[in-house]
Amino acid sequence: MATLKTFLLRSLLVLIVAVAVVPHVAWAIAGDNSSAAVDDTQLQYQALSAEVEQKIARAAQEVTTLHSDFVQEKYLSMFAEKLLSTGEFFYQRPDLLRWELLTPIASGFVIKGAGGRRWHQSVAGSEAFKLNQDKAMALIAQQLFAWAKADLPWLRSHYTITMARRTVDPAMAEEQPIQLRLVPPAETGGFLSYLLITFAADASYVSTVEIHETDGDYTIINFNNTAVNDRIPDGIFTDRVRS
Amino acid sequence: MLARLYSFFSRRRKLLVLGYGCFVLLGILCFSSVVQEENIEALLPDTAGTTVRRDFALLQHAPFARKVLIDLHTLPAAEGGLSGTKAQQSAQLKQVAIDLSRALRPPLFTQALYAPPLQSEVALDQTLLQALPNLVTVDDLVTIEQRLGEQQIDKQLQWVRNQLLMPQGWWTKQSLRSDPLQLWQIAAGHLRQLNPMSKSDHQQSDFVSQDGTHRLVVVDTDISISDVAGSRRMMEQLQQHLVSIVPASIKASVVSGHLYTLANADSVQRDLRLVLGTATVAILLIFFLLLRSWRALFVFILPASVLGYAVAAVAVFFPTVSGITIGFGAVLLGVTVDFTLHVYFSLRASSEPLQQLRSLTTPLMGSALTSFLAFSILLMSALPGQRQLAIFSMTAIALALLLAVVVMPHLCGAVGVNSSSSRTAGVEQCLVTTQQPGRLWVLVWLVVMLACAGALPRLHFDGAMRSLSVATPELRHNEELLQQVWGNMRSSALLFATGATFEDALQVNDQISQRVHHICADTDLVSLAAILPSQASQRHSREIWHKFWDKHSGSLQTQLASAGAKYGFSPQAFAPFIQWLPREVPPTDLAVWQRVGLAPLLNGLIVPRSNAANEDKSSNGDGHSAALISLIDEAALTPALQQSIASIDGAVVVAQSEFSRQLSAELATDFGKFISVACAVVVLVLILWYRRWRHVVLALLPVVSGLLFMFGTMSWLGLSFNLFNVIAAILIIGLGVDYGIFILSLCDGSGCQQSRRAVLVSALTTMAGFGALVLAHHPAMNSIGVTVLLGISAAVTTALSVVPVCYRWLVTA
Repeated sequence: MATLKTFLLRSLLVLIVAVAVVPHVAWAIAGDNSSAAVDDTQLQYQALSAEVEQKIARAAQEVTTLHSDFVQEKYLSMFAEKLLSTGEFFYQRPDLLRWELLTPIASGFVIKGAGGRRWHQSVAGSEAFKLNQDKAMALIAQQLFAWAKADLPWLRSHYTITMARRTVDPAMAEEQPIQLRLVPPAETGGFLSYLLITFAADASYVSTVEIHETDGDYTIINFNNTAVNDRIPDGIFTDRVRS
Repeated sequence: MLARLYSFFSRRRKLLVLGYGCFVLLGILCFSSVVQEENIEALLPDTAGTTVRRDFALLQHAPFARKVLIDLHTLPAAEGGLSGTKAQQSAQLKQVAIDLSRALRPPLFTQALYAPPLQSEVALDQTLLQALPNLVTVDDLVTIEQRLGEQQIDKQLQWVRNQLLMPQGWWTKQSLRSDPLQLWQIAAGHLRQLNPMSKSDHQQSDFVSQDGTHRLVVVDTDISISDVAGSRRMMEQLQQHLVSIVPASIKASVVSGHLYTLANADSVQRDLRLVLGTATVAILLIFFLLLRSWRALFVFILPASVLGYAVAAVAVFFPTVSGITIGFGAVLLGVTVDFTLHVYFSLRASSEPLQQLRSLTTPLMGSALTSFLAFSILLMSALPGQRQLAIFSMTAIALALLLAVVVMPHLCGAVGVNSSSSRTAGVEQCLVTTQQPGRLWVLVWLVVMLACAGALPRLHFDGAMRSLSVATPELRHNEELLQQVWGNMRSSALLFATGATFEDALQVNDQISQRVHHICADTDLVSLAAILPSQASQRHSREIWHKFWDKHSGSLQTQLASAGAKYGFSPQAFAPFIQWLPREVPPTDLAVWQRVGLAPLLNGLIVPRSNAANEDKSSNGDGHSAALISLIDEAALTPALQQSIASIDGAVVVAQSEFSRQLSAELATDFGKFISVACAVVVLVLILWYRRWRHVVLALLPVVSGLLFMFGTMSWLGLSFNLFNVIAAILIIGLGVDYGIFILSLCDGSGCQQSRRAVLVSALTTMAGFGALVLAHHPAMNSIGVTVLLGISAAVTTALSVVPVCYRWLVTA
């Protein structure tokens, strides 16, 4: 009898621990797995506080260059599985940028001021473009520069910005990276439903961008191995071939 | 009657002067109250059976006739051209074109395009895809079928996947889902038929040449081509922009009808300064040497004062008076100066003015009658301007004669010479000139006349309006450059499709397009038919489209599924495309293309409704109120093709070269008819007047000589006869017969001894006034000057030197 009672008590203890701990463990595991988009329903939204805004602005001011690898995961209904691509991203204040896909195809563009050059693996050389003549490139450039510079005034003028928080223990809230949700106005949103931008721990650069489309498709771009304020050769921003 | 009038006014000079003053004032009032218009159509035949007038009106709708075209091209490096790679140079050139087109703003420039004005907010590819079933041809379906091969689909889906990986994929995803095979490009190929620049790079969306070194900026303006002041303002502003925007390494070449207008206006102004100066000096010299009295001014004032009445007479029969009539009429007033000139010389030298006047009346009447009747022939002309000229001249001659015999005798002031002795002296003088040197004159004259007659068959009549226009070397060079680089867009033949309704016109347009492609498959045709066929054609296209996909959609779905799986596409990835294929699409209409931003290109090929109706009324009145234009290179418009198109009901072919040829032929016929009939009338009048064949022959000698020498010399010099020479020829006929009549009256004693001097002064003033035009550079002015100099010099020389000798041989001997 005493043996059964002891077994039952130990089992109850294990059960209690399991119920209490496993979700946390599961959450911890889920927090490291960047392949899944954040479930919108798990987030709470609040107005962007002045404190957070200042933190982002202060950090961004210190940044003159950024260089990172990125992994792009596209979840499109057109495809049975996610589309995976990798590339590199370079930024130098105020208006130099290089976005280059390396796998599975080689394509990309550089932007220098009001214009740039773009290339594709199927075509030799590169082609010049002007941002004031190419609407699509202008929009892409605006987004990338806004993310790179953490240009909150520009972002605020084009989006409604709220701060996203997970519905977890408030005590852990301070340790969460800053995550902003950007919603465009209905009349100008086009294909875009909202953006979810996650900053690095020190808020000096964007670590993840999620682009959610109105038809349910979404793209996650994770920036890894980010180097801040390293020297970047000028040739990176000139043309396809890095000189 | 004449004697009574003379006696009446000789006692009432003040009344005469007052009356004449009122006459002049009334004349000025008449002139200022008449509605004038500058319209080249006065020179176009309007009789039944001719299409010249209709063709001229239709030619005004040529799409590029009113535009300013600016070709920008990079100079070679050796000439200071742009530096950098070819791509960099191309980008720089493009930027200059963009900057220039943005700088050219209203009010002088309504629109400046460096590329088709496609609306960036509208998805052109979607519009083209939706329109494709309505536009598709059998050839298009062959092209589509080539894209349905296994390899092609595999390659295409790989491309689609790559597009979706790039940032641009966010914008193109829906388009790629609904058109993975990029079929919209087939419809885009149809858009190329809207491009009149046959030699441009059709793969580019901008106006770029094949080699990429030229870009074109097409500028619209509301400034009329005939507006000299407006054209000058516009060109000055354009030049300022070119200087500030176009760098030295890029050359801008401008072509526009406005530049021709300015070139002509500047040339005329320069020439007028020279000509008027020369003519004034010459006439003053004649005045001081031969006239020597202020009363001689009335010789010119009296004929000039009938101008207002002549214009008013034209206004009685025509709603508006052509400015060309007034201009030409002023030239022909030279004929009427003869009347006052003869009266002036005769009465001044006579102590019996009334007697002198009586003896002068007969040759004056004969001279006036021949000129009057000769000009009356113009009433039968096919040109409304010529008919106006007839009324103008007949009125002017009649009134000038009246003033010459009623008013001039009292204004010329008598100097006093014995008239009877002067009469004999005149005859003696006439006879004295028939000595040996006279015979030599006749011999020389005969040889020259024979030589001129021999050259006559080579004389060419040039009815082209352009040959009477000034074109600077720069303009000619720029026109050639434009043609070489961009094609023959400024002088393409126009194929009009007319109909009672817009849909009818579209049907005719379709037929024209089919006929052109059937007969000349490789010919570039700029036409709406490729993107806006008639409803019947669209129905047919939809039929063959659906038949095609009934046959191929099954296999397409299978191929998309298998190739798609290879690249990770889901089975439903291209469901929107598959579902769309069998769907019925709405017909394509004008509004579809206007929404996309193609209105400026389309409007150039659509004649506005009111214009189409008006031109139809002026041509054949068949009730056509809608018209579309297609453009084809004139060189490609073979006679067989032209005939084939013209046989389509509602189709009209208008080619610049054909129009010039037709106009030339009409003017030549009209002119030939006038000269022949005028000469016949003059001969008839002279026969009735003199009733002696010898007198008739002698009176005709100056006219015949003048015309023969003029035609023959122009033929020897390789000069073409043109519209302006016709007017000069009329002047020669009028004056030539006058010289003959007066010299004959001098020889037979019925006239006055001063007639010789009057004839000489008349010829000299005519040659001074109009012959000075030979110094002009403007082709039209120069040709009048050449004709007058040649004709009048021959006529007066014949009258003064040959007629008296021949009179002695034929009459006296």
